[in-house]
Amino acid sequence: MELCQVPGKEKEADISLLVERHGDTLLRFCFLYLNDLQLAQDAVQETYLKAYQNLERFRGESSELTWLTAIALNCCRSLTRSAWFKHEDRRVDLSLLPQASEPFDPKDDTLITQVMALPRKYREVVLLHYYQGIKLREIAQMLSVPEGTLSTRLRRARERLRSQLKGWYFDED
Amino acid sequence: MKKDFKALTDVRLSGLKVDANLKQRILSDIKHREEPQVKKKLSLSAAIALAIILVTAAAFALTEGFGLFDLMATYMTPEYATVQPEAHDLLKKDLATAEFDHVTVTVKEAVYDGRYLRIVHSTKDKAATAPFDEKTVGELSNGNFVFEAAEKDGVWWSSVDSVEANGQHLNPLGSAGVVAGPGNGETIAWIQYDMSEIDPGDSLEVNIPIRGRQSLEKKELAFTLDMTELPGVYHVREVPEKDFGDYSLKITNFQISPIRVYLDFDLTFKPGVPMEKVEEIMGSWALGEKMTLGDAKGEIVLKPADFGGWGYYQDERLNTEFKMEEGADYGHDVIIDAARPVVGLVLGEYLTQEKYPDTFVLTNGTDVIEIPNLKAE
Repeated sequence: MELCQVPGKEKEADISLLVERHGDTLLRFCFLYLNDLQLAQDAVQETYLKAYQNLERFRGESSELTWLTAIALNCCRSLTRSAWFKHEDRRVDLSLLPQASEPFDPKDDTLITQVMALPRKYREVVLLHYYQGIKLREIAQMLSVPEGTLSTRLRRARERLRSQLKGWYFDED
Repeated sequence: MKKDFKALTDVRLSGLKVDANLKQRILSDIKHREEPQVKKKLSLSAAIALAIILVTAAAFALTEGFGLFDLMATYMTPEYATVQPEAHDLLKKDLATAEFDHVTVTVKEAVYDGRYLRIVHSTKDKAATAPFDEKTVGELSNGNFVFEAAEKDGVWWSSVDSVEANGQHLNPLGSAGVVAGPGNGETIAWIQYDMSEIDPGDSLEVNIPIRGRQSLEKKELAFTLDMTELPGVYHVREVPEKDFGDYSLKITNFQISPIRVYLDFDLTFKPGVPMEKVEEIMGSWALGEKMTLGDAKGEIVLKPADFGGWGYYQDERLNTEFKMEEGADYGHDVIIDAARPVVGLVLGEYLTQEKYPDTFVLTNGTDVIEIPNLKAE
């Protein structure tokens, strides 16, 4: 990452840069994971705080986005363990979101809501792999789960989605 | 599928952006948690405890009231505005006003309930001839609105990230938001500040730095709240720490107010208890589905409000750290010294009720502690 040259302000400026570069994607990732915009904002806020605290330790062995996603995943997991989280209505309703700034096909909501409704272990791998574009090997390290197990989860997630959305989005069909 | 899912999701969620408010909060959070003068004894690892929750209030109708308790109803469900009658006695109105070139800022309401200081402030565009229209209200609710008159004057119209009370810095904590008000060109923002580590004494002198950014002259809104009587606010008498084998539970604060019920407790894990077990037990108390506060028969069950929070102490009891894994760019919480205990804390907030049990029962579904509902001396 290219450091900003403001004495004493480098880290803050770097985080500001990371917010600009990846903030929207992380917010969407957290929303897809948590199904709650306010909690997603909290998760993003905490993600950047942890990133700030560990910035010197980021060695660039993964991409910035992969590193931030790993932190965001931990934050989301913490939030989903909340009793308060569990007491809330978890039904997915994308119509309550701020209006999309680009035109979209309302049919697309079906795929997104079905992904969001997947059991967590399937949803995690789908979001990390298909949305964040992270390789299975890196996800395996991130989740401390064997790569083979992840492949199985991904296959089962696709099977679930396929049965519910047959003929819609599966370009491999 | 990869191309389709990523692409269509980004289009569908294109309204979700880190707007100026959220970015400001992120940077402010970093700054405040790094500043040495912010001496919070309890620095929590969980975002839920120290985060501001900006409320999307698109559905907030202009016909509704604009008092604090009306505004609280916009947070998730109207149930969150459940307060008891004494809450209105705690509420103080029209406390301070400041005139700027383009806007007038007024502290409309403030209330202290023994735990939080909650403030509502209005910002009015002096040149406006009508309330904000529907389009502006929509932009306001999704964070895209720029309040030009307020920005020209450099005032904090959507939130105030910190205030001083009796000379001490307060962090915002919990729900907050901003809506279009009923007046011409008016916004109304509300926010709450954590007072858990401040003894207000008989009076609370509050300074709100309503302007202080960049090179503009600083301006504060100041007011004083009388603390000698807080109707409906009391602490529940202390109960002994209870041992459950791997850990013990100590209630550190149990306070009932007409606005919320607050229950804080520590969990002290004995040396040698592995982190996995610590997290499992912490999860069951702080976050578990079977965790309840109510009566023995289950006829009274308090409903969680807002988010409360949980985490591990980061003062002299600090014994956990976020550790990066070798060869990877991610990590987990680990125990620093296995010969020392790990001490976690849980901060619970519940909606108020007209009636409470004679004895509260707090349980995680397995372990139970009883707390007689007796006022502390």
